[in-house]
Amino acid sequence: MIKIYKFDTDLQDFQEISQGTFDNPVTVKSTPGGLASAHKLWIRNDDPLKFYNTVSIDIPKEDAEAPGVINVGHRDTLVDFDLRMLSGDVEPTDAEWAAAAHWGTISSPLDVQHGNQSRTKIPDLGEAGAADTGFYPFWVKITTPGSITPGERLFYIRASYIEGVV
Amino acid sequence: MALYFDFRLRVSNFSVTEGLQEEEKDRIFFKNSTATRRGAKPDGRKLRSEQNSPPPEAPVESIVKRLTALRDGYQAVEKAIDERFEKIAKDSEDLVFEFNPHDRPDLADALARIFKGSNNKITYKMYLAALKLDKEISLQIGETLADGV
Repeated sequence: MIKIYKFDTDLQDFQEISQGTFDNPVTVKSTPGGLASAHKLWIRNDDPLKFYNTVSIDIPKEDAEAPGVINVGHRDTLVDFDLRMLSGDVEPTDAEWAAAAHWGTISSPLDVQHGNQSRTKIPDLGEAGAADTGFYPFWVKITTPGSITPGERLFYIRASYIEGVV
Repeated sequence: MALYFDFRLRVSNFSVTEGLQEEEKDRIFFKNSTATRRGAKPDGRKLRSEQNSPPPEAPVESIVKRLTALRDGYQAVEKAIDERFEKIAKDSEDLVFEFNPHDRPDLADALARIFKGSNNKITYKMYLAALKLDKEISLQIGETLADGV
């Protein structure tokens, strides 16, 4: 199954991000009008008997989807925030962040001709006959405008895919 | 098919360091940015490279460097706090604390002595001005006492 991980620097280990329970969410802290901070996450298939292609990662702005999957009290609209995602192991530069699409999507497969120049691609997680259980990193950056009221907002990262059996 | 992973955003006005870039935090708290970068993968190569690192700097040079870093860090913190206070002041300029002078004659008297013409309300601007005044008075008292020694 596809999972998303964060890295716990205290435990020196990857931690699975929870799905719908908020037991172990990605937690991003921000100040209105403050500087944005980038967070590194990883996507991975942990099942050696499955492979995944046409993988897509995004963070929906509105709470219009995930029916029946998420069972949390409420989800907030993120329309007013500036959220960007880029793939790759090294933290994106300011120029790369500036060029990144607002509310962009990271997707597979890799562009064979151009590699990952735009940092919006990840490889397919395996193929028929060969699972891939490696960790593939991506970065999330949120900027909070000065007009935002302080408080906690809950939302989700969506990972879409087509699953196959190895 | 799709899966949905939990993502929580905490927006807070009162954080000094939360909005800072890693490099700024590292400068303030003397951390090695490569070793402490949030979310960084553990890197065994770094540990090996440390074994071949150059010998430590001379003590005096090291102290000067550390004090300089401390000063820079202090200035960065002060700047961040000042910016937050300015933001809070802007957001809170309409806040007013009103009280009955008969119930709090001590407060009314003190207020009238500092802010002429007012004895029953404290605006946020007045509160900030009082804080500034208190700082200046403390400084003056300190200087006066030091002169007397």
